[in-house]
Amino acid sequence: MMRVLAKEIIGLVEVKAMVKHEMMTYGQAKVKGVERNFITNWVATVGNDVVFEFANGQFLSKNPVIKFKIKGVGKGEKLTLTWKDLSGVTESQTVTIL
Amino acid sequence: MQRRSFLRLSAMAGVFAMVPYPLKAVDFRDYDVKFWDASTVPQAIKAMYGDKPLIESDKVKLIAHSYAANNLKIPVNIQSDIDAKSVSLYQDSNPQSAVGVWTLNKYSVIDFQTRVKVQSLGDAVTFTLVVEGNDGKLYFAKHRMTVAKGGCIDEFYKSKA
Repeated sequence: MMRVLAKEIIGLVEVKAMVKHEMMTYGQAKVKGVERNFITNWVATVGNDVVFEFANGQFLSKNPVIKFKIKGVGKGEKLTLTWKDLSGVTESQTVTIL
Repeated sequence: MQRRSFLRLSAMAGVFAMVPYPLKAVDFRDYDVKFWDASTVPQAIKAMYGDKPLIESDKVKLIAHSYAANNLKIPVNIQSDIDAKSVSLYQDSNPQSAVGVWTLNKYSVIDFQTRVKVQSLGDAVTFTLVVEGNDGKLYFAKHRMTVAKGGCIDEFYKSKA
C-alpha cells in the first residue's frame, strides 16, 4: 500500500511518498525468525524519462517515507513512483502533479 | 568508473549477473555488494567512489536534530547546490555503513528527506553525506547526534546474547 503526492511549488515539484512495508533488517529478521526483506530501490518516471532514482540498504525506517524535489516537469503531468524490494515484489503508483 | 569496467569484463567473460545491466535506472541493489556490506564509513566510501580525497564543504547540508528520541525514526534532510552526479549517505552506528545512494540527472534537485533507523547502544552516531560533483571531486559533510538508549532494536540485540 503506498501513497504518493506531487505538488508544484515555485517552479519545483515536491513529491512525498509513504509505503507500508516492514523493512526487516538482517539483525531484526534473525531474532524474529522471519526472512529479511526491505525496499531496496525507488524510481520515479515522468513519461519515458527517469526523474528520480534512489537505492537504499536496510536502514530506512519501517513504513518508509521519502520526499524529494525535481525540476523540469510541470503541473498536469503524470508521475509514476515504483519501489522494489529484496524479494522482488514491486509496486507503483501514478499521480498527476497538482 | 572502476565498477562499470569490472562489470563489462565479467559480462564478456560469460558470467551473467542475475539481472541484466540496466540501461536507464541504475539499480544498485543488483550489484556493488561490497558497498552494501562495508562495515565502516571509509570502506563504504572507497567501495563506491574509489580512493579519492574528501573535501569538506559547507555547500553540502545535512540537516537533522542533535538528539534522537526514537532511534527507529530519525528524519534527515539533505540539501546541496553543487552540480553533482550522485549523493550518498552513511552512518557509523549500524553493522553496515551505507544507508542510501541517490543518482542524479538533469531533473534532479538535491533536496531529499527520509527517515533512518540506527542501533541505540547509548553512543552518538555520526552521519556522513558525500556528494560526487560533476568535476569528479567528492564533497562531504558530517552530522553528529546522540541517540536515546532503549528502543526496539536494542531489545533484539540483547535477547540474542
